[in-house]
Formats: sequence, C-alpha cells, structure tokens
Amino acid sequence: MTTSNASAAGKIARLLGRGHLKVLVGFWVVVLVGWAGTVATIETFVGLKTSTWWWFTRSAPKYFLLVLGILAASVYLPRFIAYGFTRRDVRVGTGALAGVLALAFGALVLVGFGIESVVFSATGISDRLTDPYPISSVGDAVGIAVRMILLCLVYPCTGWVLGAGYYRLGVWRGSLFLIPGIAPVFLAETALDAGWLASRFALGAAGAAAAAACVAASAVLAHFVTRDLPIRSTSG
Amino acid sequence: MSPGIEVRDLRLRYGRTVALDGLTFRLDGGKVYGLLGRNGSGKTSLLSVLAAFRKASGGEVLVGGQNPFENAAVVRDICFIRDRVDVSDDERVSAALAYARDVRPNWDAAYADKLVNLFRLPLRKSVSALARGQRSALGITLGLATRAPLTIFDESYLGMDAPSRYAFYDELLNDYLANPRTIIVSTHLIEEVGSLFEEVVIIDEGRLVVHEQADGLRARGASVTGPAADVDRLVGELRTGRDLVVLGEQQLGGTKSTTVFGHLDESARARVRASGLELGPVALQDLFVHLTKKPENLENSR
Repeated sequence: MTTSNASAAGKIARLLGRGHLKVLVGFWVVVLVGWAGTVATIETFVGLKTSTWWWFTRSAPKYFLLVLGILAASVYLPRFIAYGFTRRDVRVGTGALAGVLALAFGALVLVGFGIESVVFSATGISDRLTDPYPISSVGDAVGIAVRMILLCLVYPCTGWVLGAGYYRLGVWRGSLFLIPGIAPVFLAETALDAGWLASRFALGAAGAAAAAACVAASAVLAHFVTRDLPIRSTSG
Repeated sequence: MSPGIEVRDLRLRYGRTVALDGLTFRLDGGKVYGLLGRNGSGKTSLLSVLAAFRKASGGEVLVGGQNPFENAAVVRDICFIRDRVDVSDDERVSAALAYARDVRPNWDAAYADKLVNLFRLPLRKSVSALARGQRSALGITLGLATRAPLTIFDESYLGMDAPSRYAFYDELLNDYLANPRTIIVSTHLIEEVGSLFEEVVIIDEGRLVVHEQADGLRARGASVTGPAADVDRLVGELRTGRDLVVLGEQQLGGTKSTTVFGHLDESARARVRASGLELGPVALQDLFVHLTKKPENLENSR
C-alpha cells in the first residue's frame, strides 16, 4: 500500500522551487540579456529579418527543464527519501513544480514576444522583417503558449525518466533506457512541429492532443521507473 | 512514540546475490539495539529495508505495525544515517542543517547547535571541504537532532577520532534517556559501544545468528581455562545434557581456553570452579567473533 499526503508533496515543490529560484531567475536574465545583445548586434551590422526572441526561447527553456528533471530524479529524489518522504511524494511534488514552471515559462515566452514586438515597432524593425512575425493573432499566441507548455512538461518528465534510469540501472543499461526514455519527447516534438522536423508534421489541435498524450506517457514512465527505486548504498 | 519492528521471513536479493535470506525477529521498540554482523553480512541491506530505502524481495517488515515502504506516515518518523551522510556535497554545513530543520517534524534546532559546537563543525564550510570525521559528525548531528521515533545509525562514526566517538556515545545515551525512542546502531566497534546496547541482533550471510538481551547474551558466554586435558574433559562433561556449544578454542603450550555458549547453570559453574579451572566472562566482541565464525550454531536461538 502506498500512502502519501498533499502537504508533503507541496513541501517538496516549495523546497525545490525555493532552492532553484536563483537559477531560474538567472536563466531568464541570461535569455533576456542574450536576446537584447543579439538584437542590438544584428540590427547594427546586418539588420534584423526575423524574431530573435523565438531563437532564444524555442529550445533553451525546455532543455533547462530537461536538466532539472534529470537532477530531480538522480540527486533530489534519493535525498528526499533519506529525509522521510516517499517516492510518490517526490514525484507528485516535482510534477507540481514542473507544471507551475511550464505555465510560467509559457507566460514568459509570450511576455517576451510582447516586449520584442513593442521594441520592433518602436524602432521600425517590424517594417523590415522578411519572415512573418511568429505572433500576429490571439490564435498564434495560444498556439505558441500551448507548444511551450507541453514541451516544458514533457522535457522535465523525460529528464526524470533518464535520470532515474541511469541512477537505477547504471551507465550501460541506463543508456539502453534512453530509447524508451526519449520516445515521448521525440513524438511530442514531431506532433508539435516544434523544431526537429521543420514543418513536415504540423498537426494543430491534433498535434497538441498527441503531445499531451506524450506528456502523459512520459509521466507514466516516470512513475514506473521510480515507484520502487532502491536508494543506492553509500561508501567512502 | 517508539515504534516496534517486526521482520518475518525477510528476503532481499541483488540480482543473483542473496543479501537477506529468511530473516525473522521482533524488536519491541523503545530500546537501543545493536546490529552486529561481519562485512557483507546484510546489515546495511536490512536497515535499508527498515528505512524504506529498498523494497524487500520477499517476506514482511512492519515498523510500528505498518509496512514502511512508500508509507508516508511511517517514513517521516524514520531517520537512517548511513556511513556517508545524505547531504549535497556543494552545500554548506549550515544549509544542510537548515534543510533538515525544514523537513524534519521533530527537529531540535537548539540541540543541533549544541552538537555543532560539541563536534566543532564549521558551519560556513561546504560539505565537500569537511574531513571524513567531520562529515560523520554532521551525520550524527542530523541523526540525533532529528529526534525521529526510529533512529538508525549505520557505521555512522567512520573517520571520527576517539574523543568525538565517545562524545557521540555519551550524547546518544543522554538524548535517548531524555527522549526515549527506538535506536538501532550498526557497528564494528563493538567494545566501544557495546555497553549502550539493551538488545543485540547478530546476523551473518543474511540470516539471524542470535537475538538476545545484551546482558543475557554476555551471560551465556563463558571461557573455561586451565590445563588442556582438564578443560577438554570438563567441557565434554558439561555439554552432556546441556545445550552448550563450543564456540572456539585457543591453546598455548599446555594451557587451553575454550569458549562455550549456552545456559551454564550455577551447578555447572560450581563444578568448573571446584575442578580448579578458571571460569571467565567473554566480551561481547569475542562472542560476536565466535558466533559469526560458526554460522551453523545458534541460528534462531531465541
């Protein structure tokens, strides 16, 4: 019988969030500064032709959360268990935090587009863009937010699966676990046309539903790989 | 609350390796228990199952009447301090203590401060910069100040110097008397810490060798010393009709010392003395050495 409680999972989410607040803020400061520097540099020497914010945010946030997922399973989970939490508490707490971060990242990406479009309009860059701006309607904004949120869910789930796989199975067998581990990410990326396969598989709402299913599949994998995860013995 | 522990036919396997092989015993709780065993005997495996670090391959473990594995109500009351403390290497000592304060419901911050001073722990240093003994002292500080109803120390003193180890033993006893709970100490330094144990569990090759009151176990061991022929004859006579096991023999020239284990009643003791042989006590550590040298003896003797 597995028992858990919401307060323990909430405490885990708060502890992880608090512990990574500086890193999270630092990440978005780097993204913002990098974007501003890139805009200034390209505009000065070449002239902007497309949205630079999309360059910075289409991949970096999801990879950032992938790393957090790996760390959560391979480093934080064993420690939480050593301090009197259950694996389920940690899964639920980490999942809750991933959900909050996915929503926050989706919102920040939209805010970034808003800032960029204001800057582009104020400086006349908008008139010189050769590529269409990624957001020209509410539908575009919703689409980008949904993509970002789904990817920001499936990546940390996958990170958790991979981190737990290596922690549980070691380097060699853990590497074999990469194949089922990354399958949900690959399928979600494909379904969302989010970068890997250009525009060959633009599925719209069906793609979003398929990606949501990938998130669920990844969460199920995360459950199975850690539900009875043995905590390694220590030495030295 | 001082939870009792019930272990029934407990089995744990790592692939083809059998770590625990049908272990069965019961601890009433509210005592200091010594868990003894040779290297690789299954001590850490047993403790890992008790603390829900691992799921048993078979059998049953109950802590306070409930299976601890993935049981939030049970595991929050368990503190398992291993030979290497479960903290992040790159965080400061102060942060490691703050973390425990945040997550442990019974954390005693004032007592933790006292232990930090006692063990001279540098709060501003990172854990990775601590000497081996200081890391162990940090683990002991976490273990004692957590005040968990079930507190487990598994070789937690590694690298600590003698004064620090004795300070640990003193604190363990004093804090246990002030805040009674179930404490399990797994150790190889039996002579140092043996006096703290109220009960002793000895395991070997994943099986129970003996579970006894510590004093009772000591009383069941005796050494008979004297001329070899006399010792052999008398021990042979004593074993007739008694559940007495010869654990070991040592001989130097014509003098022999035989260690026996079992119930040696007063008439038997008087007979040894009357025959001019010396009847001596056996240290817990010596009993342990003998008992684990002869695993076929005394299994499930309780």
